[in-house]
Amino acid sequence: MLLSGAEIVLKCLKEYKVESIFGFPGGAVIPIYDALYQDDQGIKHYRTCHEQGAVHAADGYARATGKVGVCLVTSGPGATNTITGIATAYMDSSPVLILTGQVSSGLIGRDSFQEVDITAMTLTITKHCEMVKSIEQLQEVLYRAMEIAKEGRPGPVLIDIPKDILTQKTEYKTNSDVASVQQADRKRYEKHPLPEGIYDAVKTAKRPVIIAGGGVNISKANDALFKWASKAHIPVANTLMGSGAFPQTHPLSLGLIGMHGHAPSNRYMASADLIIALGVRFSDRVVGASEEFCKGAKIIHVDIDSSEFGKNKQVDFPWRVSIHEALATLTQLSLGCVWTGEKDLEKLQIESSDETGNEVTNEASTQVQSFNIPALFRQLKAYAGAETTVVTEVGQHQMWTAQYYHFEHVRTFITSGGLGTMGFGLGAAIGTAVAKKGRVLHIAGDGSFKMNCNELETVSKYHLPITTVIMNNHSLGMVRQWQGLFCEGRYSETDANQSVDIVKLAEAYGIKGYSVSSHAELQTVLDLVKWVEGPVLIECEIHPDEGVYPIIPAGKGIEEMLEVAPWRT
Amino acid sequence: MERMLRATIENEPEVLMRVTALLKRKGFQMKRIVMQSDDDQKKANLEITMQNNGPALDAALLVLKRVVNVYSVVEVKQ
Repeated sequence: MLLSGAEIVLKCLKEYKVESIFGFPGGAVIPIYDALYQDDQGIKHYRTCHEQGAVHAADGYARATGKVGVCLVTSGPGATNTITGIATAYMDSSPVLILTGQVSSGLIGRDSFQEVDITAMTLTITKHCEMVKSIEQLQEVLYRAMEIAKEGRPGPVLIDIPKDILTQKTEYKTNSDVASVQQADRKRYEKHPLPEGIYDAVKTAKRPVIIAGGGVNISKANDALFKWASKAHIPVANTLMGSGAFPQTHPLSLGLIGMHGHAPSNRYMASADLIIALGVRFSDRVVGASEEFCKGAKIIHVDIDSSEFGKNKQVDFPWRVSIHEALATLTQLSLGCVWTGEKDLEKLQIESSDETGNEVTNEASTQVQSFNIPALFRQLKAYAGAETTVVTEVGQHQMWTAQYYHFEHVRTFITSGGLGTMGFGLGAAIGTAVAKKGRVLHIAGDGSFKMNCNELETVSKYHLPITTVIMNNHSLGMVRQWQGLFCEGRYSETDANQSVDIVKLAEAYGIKGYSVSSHAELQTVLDLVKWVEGPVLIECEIHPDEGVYPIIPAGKGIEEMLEVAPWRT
Repeated sequence: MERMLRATIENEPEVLMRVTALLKRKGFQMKRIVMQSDDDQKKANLEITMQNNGPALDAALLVLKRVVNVYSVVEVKQ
């Protein structure tokens, strides 16, 4: 059967069971949009207001499900608008397929209208990118793109398709003709044998700690992790991206570690003698001063990507293996070993609440205004429930969410970790709501929210069940906090002197908005909107001096941790 | 003494760009780059010579191995 390039694109996506895609039309992709229009029983397309929203939505979809999220945009500015979103997906290993239109083959390289060399621009932020050179290649390239995006360590793949290829026709190959594509020339995942010495390191450990990273969420190894940790009584800490990999409500959970990690947890890490790091990359936001981090401990580093070994932290046992296999082996190895994780953490809990326990600290530092941050998150969790996926932007509200939401389930926390993209959240919430077909809690700061708030139109148009909570401190809180701590309070360009009426803004998009400034008011609104089906927006007035604590200044060791704002001590 | 890596890559300019961009980001000073395609134009051999005073090559090789259309890469001991 002869199909046009545009029809081949849709057919390939359907073969991979893609149900929803996100995009924005333009000249170079008119043939694909025409094919979409005529395709009655196929793919549901969600049109965003801006290509950045579309790529974040595809990313959110991918993070919520583990399936490849697909984004379709036009050439030139359509393509360049996706760049921030591609880099966001790349840093957090999210499988996203970005299909960009390109000007017709004969116009390439001539500074034609809406022409950019998008594959050259995205070389360093994609797992793979290529331009389709002929209609005969198209089907194979798309198959390969889908495979590469999700295999091994996932990542974004960009495919650039010239317009003339979309209108040419060719024979659509049957599955068996292209099966070879899925096999040929693929990077083989070669696992390492068990590194020598691990056995002794495990057997002799007195105070082991597991660090669960984003890799545990990606590989869905959370159940295996739970079984091993709870059987052997090993405490589990999590990185930002590892939130939800191990229930933070469990007695063995140390919760978040790193720059804004819980103080007792960071101290406990420093006293460990064996670290089992699963799918982490020892980001500077986790380790701070690299040579100081857990320097008394032997470190087993399990990752599927061997380029992570020694990149940020020298480790004793780099082990390239899937987390599932590693956990199976470690479970065998540690048979007969019983540690005392729960007791140790209980002791830790008692000690830290005697002195300056984390939550206690924050409650003390929030006397000046109406909202107490940990209590606010308890309220939000009681409203949404532990199963609901939470999506954040980037900044103070993001760190508070990671600290106080106490995630219990895998893939329930979607956030831009590596790149730290303000404006990620609303787009990602759209993708998540589409993927989950249910309520999504979108927590934002006013700074991040304003970056892509145009997507409220998309939320409204598709009547998506998104509850947006904006923690509005009328400032760029995280940078402002750093200016307070490290620039002697010179709040350069971080205080917003001009305020937006966010409730009216929501109403302009046809979304019901509320503004609250106390726990009681918030509760009234949450009770009111509990059974609302569509989008809801709630603005919470937060004091601009509210900070994220503890904080370990960038590049410093744990001994320089500030547990409370210095002007409060 | 200089250091050299030798790679077999897909015969596409994008791969050369990707490899050199990666080395640049890792802080290497490149002195000589030679890329030659094989007879059927599908694969190419790539040789890059670098100054010795840069960072360790091992970590960069691991990243290069990850690139989809880099088929093999080794450091050539001189």
